[in-house]
Amino acid sequence: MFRRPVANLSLYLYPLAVLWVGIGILYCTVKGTEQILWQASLFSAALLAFFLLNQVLGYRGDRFLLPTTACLVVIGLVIITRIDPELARKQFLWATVGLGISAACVWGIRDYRRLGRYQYIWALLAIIMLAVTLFFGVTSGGATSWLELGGFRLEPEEMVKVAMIIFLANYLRNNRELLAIGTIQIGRFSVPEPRVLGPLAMMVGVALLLLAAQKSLGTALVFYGVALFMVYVATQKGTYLLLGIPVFLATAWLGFKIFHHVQTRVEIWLNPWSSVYAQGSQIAQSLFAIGNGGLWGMGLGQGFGAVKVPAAQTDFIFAVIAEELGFVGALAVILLFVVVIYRCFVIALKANDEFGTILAAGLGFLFAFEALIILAGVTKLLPLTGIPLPWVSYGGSSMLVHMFMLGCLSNISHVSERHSAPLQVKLVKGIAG
Amino acid sequence: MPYVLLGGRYLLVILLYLFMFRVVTALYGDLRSAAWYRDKRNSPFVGKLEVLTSEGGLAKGQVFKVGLSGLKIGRGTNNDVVLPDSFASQEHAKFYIVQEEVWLEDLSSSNGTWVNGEKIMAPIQLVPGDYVKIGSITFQYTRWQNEG
Amino acid sequence: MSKGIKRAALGLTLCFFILSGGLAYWQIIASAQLLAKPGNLRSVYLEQQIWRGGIFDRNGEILAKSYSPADAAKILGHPIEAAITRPGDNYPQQVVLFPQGDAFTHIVGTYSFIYGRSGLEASLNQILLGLGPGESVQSHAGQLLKTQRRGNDVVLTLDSKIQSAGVQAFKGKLGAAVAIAPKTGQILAMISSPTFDPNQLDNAYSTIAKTGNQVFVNKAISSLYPPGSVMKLVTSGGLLRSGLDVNALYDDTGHARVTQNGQSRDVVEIYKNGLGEINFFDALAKSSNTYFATRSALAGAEQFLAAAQRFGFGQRIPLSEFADSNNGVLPSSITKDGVPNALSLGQLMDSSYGQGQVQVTPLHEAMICAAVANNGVMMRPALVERVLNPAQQTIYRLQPKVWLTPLTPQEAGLIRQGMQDAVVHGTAQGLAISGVDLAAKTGTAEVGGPIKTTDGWFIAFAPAADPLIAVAVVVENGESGSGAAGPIARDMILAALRESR
Repeated sequence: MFRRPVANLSLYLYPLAVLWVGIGILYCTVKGTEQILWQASLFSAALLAFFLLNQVLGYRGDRFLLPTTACLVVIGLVIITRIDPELARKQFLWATVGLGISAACVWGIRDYRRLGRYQYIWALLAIIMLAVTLFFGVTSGGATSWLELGGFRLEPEEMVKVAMIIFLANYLRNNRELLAIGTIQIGRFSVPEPRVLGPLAMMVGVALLLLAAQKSLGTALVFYGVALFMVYVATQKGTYLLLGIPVFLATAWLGFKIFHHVQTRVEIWLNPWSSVYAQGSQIAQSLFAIGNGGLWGMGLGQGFGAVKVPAAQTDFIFAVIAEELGFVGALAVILLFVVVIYRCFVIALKANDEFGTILAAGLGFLFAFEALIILAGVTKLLPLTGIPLPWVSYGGSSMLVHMFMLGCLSNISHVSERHSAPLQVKLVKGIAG
Repeated sequence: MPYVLLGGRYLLVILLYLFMFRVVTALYGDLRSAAWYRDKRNSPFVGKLEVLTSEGGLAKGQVFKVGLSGLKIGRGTNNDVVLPDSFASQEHAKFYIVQEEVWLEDLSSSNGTWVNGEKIMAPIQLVPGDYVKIGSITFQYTRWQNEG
Repeated sequence: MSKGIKRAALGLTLCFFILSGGLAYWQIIASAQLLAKPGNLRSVYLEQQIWRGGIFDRNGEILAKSYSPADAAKILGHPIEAAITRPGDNYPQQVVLFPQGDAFTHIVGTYSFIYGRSGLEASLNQILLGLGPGESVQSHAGQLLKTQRRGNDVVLTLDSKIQSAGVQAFKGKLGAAVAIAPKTGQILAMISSPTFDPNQLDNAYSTIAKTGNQVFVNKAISSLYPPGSVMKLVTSGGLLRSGLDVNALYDDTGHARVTQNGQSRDVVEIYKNGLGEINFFDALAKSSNTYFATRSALAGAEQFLAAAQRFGFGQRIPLSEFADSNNGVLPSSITKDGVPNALSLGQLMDSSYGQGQVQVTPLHEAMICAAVANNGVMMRPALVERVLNPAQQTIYRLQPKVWLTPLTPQEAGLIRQGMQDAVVHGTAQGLAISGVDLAAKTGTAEVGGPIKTTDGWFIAFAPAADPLIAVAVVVENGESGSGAAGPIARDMILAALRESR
């Protein structure tokens, strides 16, 4: 069943055009990009194959989610190619595999509700992964967030993000009334029973503690924000948000007192210029790059940030984008994120069951917080906590996990748009839409 | 060559904004045409059908939403709600909306459509609490309660 | 749940909006500010696209010039590290070398990929890059197209022979010297000591920084010194204007007390027994403090302050290349407030022989000396003689301009007479140059502080009748002016006169 094939295809042509224009420019100006052509062709073929698969199988979900994320992925790929063609080869591979995972998630799971069946298994998985990383992980850049498995470097906290959000969505679906109304009366406030609140508080608490122990403060911050907003959305109680702020401030203060590196971070944030050749260099170099971009940018391949900014391919990729593509290009990236997040919320609103709504909204919050925290960090609006920019930064774990989430969202959207046919019937019907 | 590169560098950013323009205009169109947007209560759905009794196939308590685009029901797989029931016709009945009220029309089914125990001969406006029976399956119709 | 989602979406949109605002701030509003931050070497890198013009002295000697890294490595004898490792760069990378070594460091400046620019390399940057007043290396099209541009060559008024003679004579001493062509205001030499080799800045920064004694400061324009007796030129200007009888005799007993309006002040001469009966010329030649202090007290503070004003005290010297307040020319001053409206008796008497709170820059002192040489006309100082575009066509040529006229030709002639006498039978006796009609004035200034030290001054011009060069030299801890500073000035004058022959 082909629905609007030409209109749909044209949406996919934009990211492909961006990719090939970018790769073309780099091919003409940067040495070592010859082998990228193959990788880029493979990725393009995978993207088109995904499109065709959706057309043939009658995808009825959100039309814009995948092309918009593809734009982000492609910007990331072009910029990483510009920074280091050798890394880009790997990243192209991850992105192509990621498209496969995404497609598998849309058409293989068939119904996202299956994901919600085993909530405590997800929770357990999350905690175990974090604990294993803490004890057997590799420390890099001050944080113990990597596991080494046969030559591959895994970042389990990326996978923990999925597990935590699925757990929370399921838990909140089951307990949202109890959390919203509250059964114990304390003065003017009604508080949920500890039996109800317990699993939530414990899960979030343990995960945050483990992340703090790994010194993955950025991820911890993302977790905290996502959990808080998911509870707020599920319960509609602003009290949870209001309560979250003092808890956050107290935790931040505690972190500031306990961790030496938190103190240095804040000092650097307050005055990044004092030690340009020492510790302040990351944020100062990032701002130099951003400032140098100006309105129109230096042009792809012509910035200095790609060489000068530390961790340019991961945490600070946005600084390179801002320098080479200018304010217009950087704003485009921000707007693409806004579109993706906006689509997440539309999918959440359209979802025909509460699990889908909470899950889609939770993923929207995750993308929003990830993007906001790292972008505010590189532009000195907040102290820097290094996390990758979703879909854009270099990193296999992050790319695969975010592609998986993209697949989940497409699945929710697809299933809701097909109207709420129950699970068994769909199995009977197959996938003929 | 330098001019080609210069053009390419501008094209890169222009493409991103063209894409954004496409998405935003399409979204705007979607919003305008989307049923859920026009609904005063910001809900895409007007009514819902809950399965009360079913012999196999549908689970008891299953809920189907009736949106502004209506709902087709029957044994055929092209229906919005597929009934795994041998007494149902391929295209059995359809629900549709007239001024935010849900109407039910029998599509010349072999075994008929029953509302509150009566077989309907012409389209009928449903009121909350109505029982709709198709084949061996009974639904109860209620208004869709927006959860906002 | 939809209400909660919508509210959260609204809040997050607001966050992204703020983020875009922050981005706009850094990229558009603060962009230039960030480019100027120390540690941001982008502006230096960007300039690599333009083949930088050279800096030459008035005779065409190379003071600074761009070389390819390979040539530079040959000249320096050690390899140059690639400044930029951007993939795809194809414009020439260049290294600025300074063939004169440490002789012109403070005036011509430095050019480094690590420490940026200083001196004329900084202030003439736009010209050396061949950019117009509004143009910048940032301008977009030039950026992307990478047209190979060349900058302009700059010919300075400096004379490397005079400069080298001065630098040679300064070895081992601290201080500054400035030489000016009195008739045109062209600066012939500008020396600041200690100095360093700008070619070695990147390699030996820490060693250089350890030298201390303000090694990175151009003392000729940015350091203020008490002038001591060389101030008596300005004091004479005031006294002559107020109708001083130059032939009237004053009995210098080595000590004087002035009492006015209930205030009283003592002046003690260095010479214990005094100079005896002296007129104005003797007083200037032999540097009598009591003469100038008592005459100034009699004439009043107004005439002294008016003279200081006429000589440019309290004003920014119009040396446009160093107009920047950060590292530019400091104005000379009578008190901490510049030139005040009134002085106490004590302040007036101390100031009349260059003590008290009087402070001058060596550049200004050279200009004062040059004004006396030039019949009382003080020319606007200048450093750039010509600018040549890449086709070697002159696009700028210096026109001499008058800045101030502190003295009438008669007044200037009387002071010149006193300065000539100083060489014949006064304080500068030992520095006479055979066959040259030299006019000079020495100064010894006490510097306040925990340990009292003295700065030695020597200002001179020659030939007295038709002056080619006026020099001001100050040597820190130089004891008497004739002892430490005099020989330096004499070497510079000799270099200038030798060349004019």
